[in-house]
Formats: sequence, C-alpha cells, structure tokens
Amino acid sequence: MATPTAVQSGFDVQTFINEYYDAWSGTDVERILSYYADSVLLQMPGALMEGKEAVRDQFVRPFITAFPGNWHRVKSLIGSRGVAIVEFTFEAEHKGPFAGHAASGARVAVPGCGVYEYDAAKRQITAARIYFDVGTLLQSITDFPQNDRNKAAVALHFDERNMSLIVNTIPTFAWSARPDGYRDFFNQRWLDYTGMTAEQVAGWGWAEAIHPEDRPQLIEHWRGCLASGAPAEAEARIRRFDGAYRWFLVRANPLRNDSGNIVKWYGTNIDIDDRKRGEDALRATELSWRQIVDNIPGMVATTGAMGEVEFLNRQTLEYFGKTQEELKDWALIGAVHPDDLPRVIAARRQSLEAGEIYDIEHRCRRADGVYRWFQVRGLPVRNAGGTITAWYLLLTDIEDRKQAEAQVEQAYVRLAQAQRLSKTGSFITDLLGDEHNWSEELCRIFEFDPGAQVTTQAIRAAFHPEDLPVYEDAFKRAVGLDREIDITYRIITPAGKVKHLHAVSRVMEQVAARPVYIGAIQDVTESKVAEEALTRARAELAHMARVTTLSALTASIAHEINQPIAAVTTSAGACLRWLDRDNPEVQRAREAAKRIEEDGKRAAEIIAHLKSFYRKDVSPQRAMVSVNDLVDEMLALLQSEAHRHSVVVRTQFAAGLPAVSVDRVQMQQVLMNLMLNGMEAMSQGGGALTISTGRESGAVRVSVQDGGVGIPSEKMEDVFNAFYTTKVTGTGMGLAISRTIIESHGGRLWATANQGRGATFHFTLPTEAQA
Amino acid sequence: MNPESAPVVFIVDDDASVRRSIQDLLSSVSLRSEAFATPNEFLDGQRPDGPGCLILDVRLPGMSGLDCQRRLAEAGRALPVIFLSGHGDVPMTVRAMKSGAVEFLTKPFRPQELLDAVQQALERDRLLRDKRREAAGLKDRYETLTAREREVMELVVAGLLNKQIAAKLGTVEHTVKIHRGHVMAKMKAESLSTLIGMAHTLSAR
Repeated sequence: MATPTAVQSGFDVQTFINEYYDAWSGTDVERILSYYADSVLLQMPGALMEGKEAVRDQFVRPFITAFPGNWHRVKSLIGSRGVAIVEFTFEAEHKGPFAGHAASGARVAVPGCGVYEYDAAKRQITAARIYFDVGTLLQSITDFPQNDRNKAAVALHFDERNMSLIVNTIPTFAWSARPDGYRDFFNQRWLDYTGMTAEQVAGWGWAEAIHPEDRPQLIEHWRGCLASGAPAEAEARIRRFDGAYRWFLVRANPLRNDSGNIVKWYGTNIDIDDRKRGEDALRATELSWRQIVDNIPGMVATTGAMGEVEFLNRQTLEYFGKTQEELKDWALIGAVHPDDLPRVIAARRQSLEAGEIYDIEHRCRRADGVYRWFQVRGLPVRNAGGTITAWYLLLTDIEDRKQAEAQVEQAYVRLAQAQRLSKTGSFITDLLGDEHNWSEELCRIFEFDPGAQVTTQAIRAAFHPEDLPVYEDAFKRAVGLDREIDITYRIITPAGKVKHLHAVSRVMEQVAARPVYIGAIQDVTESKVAEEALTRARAELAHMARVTTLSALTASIAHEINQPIAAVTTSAGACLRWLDRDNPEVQRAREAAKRIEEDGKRAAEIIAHLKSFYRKDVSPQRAMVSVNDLVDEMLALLQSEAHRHSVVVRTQFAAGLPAVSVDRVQMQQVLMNLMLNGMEAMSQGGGALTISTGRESGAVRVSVQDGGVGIPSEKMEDVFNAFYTTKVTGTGMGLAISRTIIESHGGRLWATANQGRGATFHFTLPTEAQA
Repeated sequence: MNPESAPVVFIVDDDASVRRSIQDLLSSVSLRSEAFATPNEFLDGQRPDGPGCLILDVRLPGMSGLDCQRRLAEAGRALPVIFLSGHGDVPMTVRAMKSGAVEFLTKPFRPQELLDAVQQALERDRLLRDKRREAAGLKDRYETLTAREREVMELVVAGLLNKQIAAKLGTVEHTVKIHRGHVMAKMKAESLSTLIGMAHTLSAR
C-alpha cells in the first residue's frame, strides 16, 4: 500500500483521496472489492445494482483503496427517482496525522461516511463526497488516553497545533462548548460559512445563524442535552454568509472527567443539505406517487403479510365512505355483502395460507348503501428470501360487466324461450367439417338426444324419404356456396312423427374454404296442417260458391243444353219421316242426320264445359290456354243468361295474345262471376256487357265492362271482401274467391268506375315467362 | 165457302239449329213453315192472313214469347200458339195456357208431340177462322135489316111475345109478325134459338 504523502501538511481529505485515487492499482484491493461487492453492494437497491460495475470502478474502488480498513455497514440508504444516494460509514485504520497512535501500538478507528449520488439514467456516479465525523474523531482521540493507562504519554503525543490545523482544515464545522452550554470555540470553516466573527458567535451568538424555524427547537434540544448530559443530535438549517440556508446535522458529545462530570462539549455540524434535499425529493416523489395512487380511477389497497389493512387509496375510502381505521375491520362493518362474506373470508384465508394470488368477485357496499360487484385481486409481495411481506390489492368495479353478463344471460334465456315458443331452433354448421352447433330447441324439434353428437348423417336420416331430394339439392347448393338457402321439408322423428320444417340459412363465414352456415329451422307442422285445412276449406267454399251460382243458373244452362238436344230430337224425327215416306227422301234424311251430328256435338261441348263446374278438384291443374278461348267458352254458357237480362254481350279480343298457365276451372269461375255480376248490374235497364282482352307488361288482361248501376268509389275495394254483397241472394263470396284465384295465379283483380255508367272489372294473368 | 189456302206454321226461335230442325220436321210431313229469329222480325213481316199457327220460344231476345202473343192478339192477327221452353217453369206455363196457348212444350220435345201440337193448333185455327168467317156473315146479314127489323129482333131475342112487342113499338101484332118473318129470313135463322145465338154472337163482337 502506498504511503500517503499529504500527511505531513495536515489532513487534507481532497488531497488524501486524490493520492489514493491513483494509487489503488497493484494492491490487494481486489480482495477488498470482492468482499465489498458481495456484502455491501448486494444490499444496495436495484438502481444501484445496475451500476454495480460503475460504482465499483468509479468510486468504491478508489475509496476503498484510500481507506483499506474494516469496510462494513451501510448506514442508510436513500433512493429517489434517477438518483441513488448511498451513505455509509466506515472505519478506517488511519494513518498520517495519527500515525503516532499506530506507533504506540494502538489502532484508532476513524469513523467516516461517504455519500455518492448515482444517476441511474446515466448509469454513473455523478458526485461523491466523503465526510469524517470530526466530533467522533476528536472524541476518539480524547478517549484514547482513558483507554490507555499511559495518559501522560498519550497527551504528549497530542499535538495541539496539529490538532488545531486539522480541526480548521477538515471540511466540516467543529465547535466546543463549556458545560453550561456557552460555546467557546468555532473552527474556521464554521466562521467562514456563516460569515460571522468568533465574537459574534461565541456563547449563544451562534443561534443567530440558525434558521428561525429551526432555532427554538435546536436550542431546546441543546438545553435538554446540557441538562441530561446525553449526546446531542439534531438537524437544523444554518445560514451561509450569502444568506442561503443549508441543512446540517448537529452533533455534540460531552467530555467527562474522571469523576464523570462534563468538562467540555465537542460538536460538529455536518452539511447534510444534499441528503436533505434528496429526502425532500423523495418525499415529493412519494407524495406524487401517493397522488397517483389516490387519483387513479381504481381502488388500491395494501395489507401486511397476514392480510391486515395497511393502506387504502382515496378512491377506496371514498367508495366505502369510511376511514382507513374503520376499514381495518372491513369484515365486521358490512363493507362486504353479507351473502358474499363467508366466501370472501374463506378465499382470503386460503390465499394467505398458500401465498397464492387472491382473486374473487364479491359485492362491496358503497357509501350510499348500494352494493356493487367488484373483482378483488391480491398479489403477494415477497422479499429476497421469498417471504411474503405484504399484499397489494386491486379492487375493480365490475358491476357494469356483471349487469352486462346478467343481460347476456337473460337474453340467452329469452332467446331459448323465444325459440321454444316459436318452435324455432337455430344452428351454426360446418357441413364439410361435419360440425354442427345446434340450439336446444332444434334438438328438441328433431327429437335428438341433447347430449348426442349431431352429424350430417343423422340429419339426413331424419329427412322424410320423399323429401330426400330436397336435402340432396340443399346440400349441393350449400357446398357450392349458395349464399342463402330456404327450404321446406318433412322429417320423421325417432318417435315416428312427421314434422314439417322450414329452414333458412346463409353463409356466415368461410373457415379454411369451408362454408359455415348460420340458420334457423322452424317447426311449421301446425301451420302446415292449418294451411292444408284452410286450403281444403277454401276449395269447399269455392265449390259451394260454384254450386250456388250453378243452381241459380240451372234454368239458363238447361235451356242452353236443351237447345241442341231439341234440335237433335227434332231433326231425328224429321229424318225418320223423310225415310218413312212412300218415296223416301234420302237426301233430306241425310241432311237431317248431318244436323243431328252437329247439334249432338254442340250439346256435348256445352256439357263438357258444364262438367268442369261440377268437378270438385282441390288441387289446381294448370294448363296453357288462351284467354280469348276462355272468354268464348264462358260466353257460350252464359248466352241465355244474357238474354234473360236483356244484355247484349260484345267482345273485343286482342289478337296474338300469349297463352297463360291457368287452372281452367278456376278461370271459368272467375269469368262467370264477373260476367254474371255485370249482367245482374244491368238487369234493370239492359245494356251491353263488353269483354275485352289485351296485353299488359308481362301479363294479359281481361276486362269485363258493364253499363249497370256501378260501384261507389268508396266501395271499390269493399266489393272484394268476403260476404260483401248487394244482392238479395248473393253469398258475397264471388269476388273474394275470384280475387283469391287470380292472385294465386300471380295476377291482379281490381275494379274501376266507367266514364259513363257502370263499372269495369279487370284482371291480369302473368305470361309464363313471368309466372 | 172460299177455298182455304195451305196453312203456314210460323216459328220464332233464336236458336238457328232448332229453327232449321223444326222447319225440316214440318217439311217432312209436308207442312209449310216460315222461321224467324226474333219476335220483331215476325211481327214486322208482311204475311197473308192465311191459316196457320205459331211455334214460339218463351225466352227470346228483346221480347218474351208471352209478350209476342199478346201483341199478335192486339193486332187482331191471333194465331194459335205452341210455346217452346228450354226449361219450363210452372208459373210461365200457367200464364201461357191462360192466354190461350195450344200447347207448352219443353225442349227437348218428342217430334211427334210437336207435330201433334201443330195439327191441333191448325185445327183450332181452322175452327177459329170458321167462327170468324161465320161471325163475319152474321154481321153482313144483320146489316141488311131495317131499323124496325133490328128493333123487333132485339125484342124477340129478349123473349117478348109478338103482342108485347107490338104494344111496345106502338103497332099491331100482325105487323110485328111480318117484321119477324123478315128478320128470320134475312138472318137465315131456322129457329128462335138460332137467332138468339146469333144475337149473342153479334153482341159479343
């Protein structure tokens, strides 16, 4: 180890450090460093640890080199954002000025302290200072004789001048006082710092330099120490010569004589302003953290290792409307919903015992008494040894989420009910992947076991054999990515029941090029059955209406049929008579027979027309027919009826009309209704019934125009209502049925008022391309 | 007696087949016929006042058969009528028969029925014509009577005795006898009852 060179000229710490700063190399410093790194640095905070290398190389190494004594004991640790301030004490085996002690065989430990600032951002030490506690130093020196029997010898070694030099040179303030507190000595640094003269500060004059806020307290403390003889230690701001105040640690120890009486007080003032500022900064930082914690929109709490409440942020206190003290007994004051409390306590106990994350949802009572749902998560905080030292708790208000969940739940229940009520099931299906997600109701409709796997095979098997083509076609379309599929089919349930189903589905998305369909299937069995009943009823009614009309027409129709028959029989009579003559008139007989043939055919035609009226055929049979022919046929039947009403029937047929696909019988019924209505409307005054045909866009039109009493415009639609009639014998069904028939053909039936008298009924029938 | 021209059967029916077949049937039994589609054609047509009958369809365009029959009677051209009906109903039949129809046939009728009805109608026509002719002669003879003879005839027919008539007319019984003889001769009455019948016929006109 290098020998200090500055010793001869007094204890100049700066020089002292500078000397050793350059001299560390080549010593056994490495060993010390190793020890230091392991035992000291490891106890430093993380921020410092990051800079371990830097700390060691930039500061610790030279420092240790300078004082290769018994390094130990980190005295205090102050951390703040970005800057780590480490203060530690050490005892150095001092040399130089105190070499005499060493020479005498005594080893004097010189306590000191070092403070350095470490900037974590820059990852380097930005400042470093070393202080010696001069008071202690002095005391050590003065104590020395007491520890050594040879006091006189020691006293001889005590170099008063040297001492004064030291005292006035060390970068700290030193002073001494008499037992009554009167300060009789201040070193030069003290005087230089305050800018005051020794006379000014002597006695109690020094108090003038103390910050007014700290002064009474310091004096009080000082007096107390004087009275009790206890060492003094206080912090106070002392005014610099320029008026600025800096924080100092003021320490004083009494020097006692053999009888134990205090003979002198020695004191030092250590500039701790930087540290103090660090503390302030820390306090400010803590305050700012506190503000953050208090102002974050969340509820935060910490507890001790055993779950005892230690800290609750402002939100938490405000929510509960309780103080932190009250909330320490949270389990007793109803902060947690009574129904949830046992669960919460159990969960906490388990969590505390197992040291596991605590996570539970329960209701907490707000200040106004309303309970809201919270999710409470607690994380254990462990020290380096892995022992839990605290718990951090986060209370999250999940009331809205809970309500949303409840709504979703409710919506699901409602959906299920709606599905049940409407007998509609829903599904999401991946046909190619054979994955089927069926709603409960759908399984019920198919009467599948709720637990059973739904497969394409099972669905296919449920289909009514006659409807399998529907299934095959739908499947093909689905695989072929048809966007929407709308089918009606029957299934046979495992119980053998036939159900009519209506399924609508559409592509929801494509997963791996496979279409995923979402859809709904409704059990329409009841409506299907009802529909069939309705169809039957309607057919019955239509038939009844036909028969009713027919009976009214019987006379007229019989007349119509009887004309050709009368002609036939008469001609037959004539024929026979021509042949029976003495000179048979064969030619005349042949002519008569020819007429018989013609009239017989005519009769047959009329009967053929009539036959269709008697037919009671439920299922409509469509055929391509010409509307002009239809009208002609009806006219043939209604000719005599027209006569009876003294009505002249005219036709205006458009040529070249396309054929329409209609049910002939139903069309005859419609035409008969319209024509009879027209004739009856004119029965009072006679007139002309004009039946015209024409072309409309995509349809052919038939109009039946009468010159009758007409229809008031406000009744124009009423006439199509069932049971609306103005006729004494009418059923009121004619036009209603007619409209149903026309609409079932995709056409339209309506009425218009004529320019002059009467009304015109029109209907259209779509041509095949449109139908 | 004037020789009767051949009777003509008139047919009014809107159905051409029916018209033609009836005409042929009549022709096959050597009866003359004329056919019309509407009553108006028939009524408007000029035809000789010869013997005949009418086959009339009840339901006709423009005018019913019954109306047609009435119009004929009003025109003094009454003909025995055979009604044809496509579908006869009782009230119409009754009205037709009341108005003097010979027969009411429902189509299809048997040809013989129609022919029988035609014969019957023609027979009735002949009787009617005879009656009309007789009535016409009676009137002519009545026209030959003097005013005094007509007075006497009226009282004779009323059943008064010659003496009573003389008293009533302010003459003598003998004179009444001579007038009475003239009346009987001029009226060609063989008996008083015949004269009474004639007077009845005349007063009915």
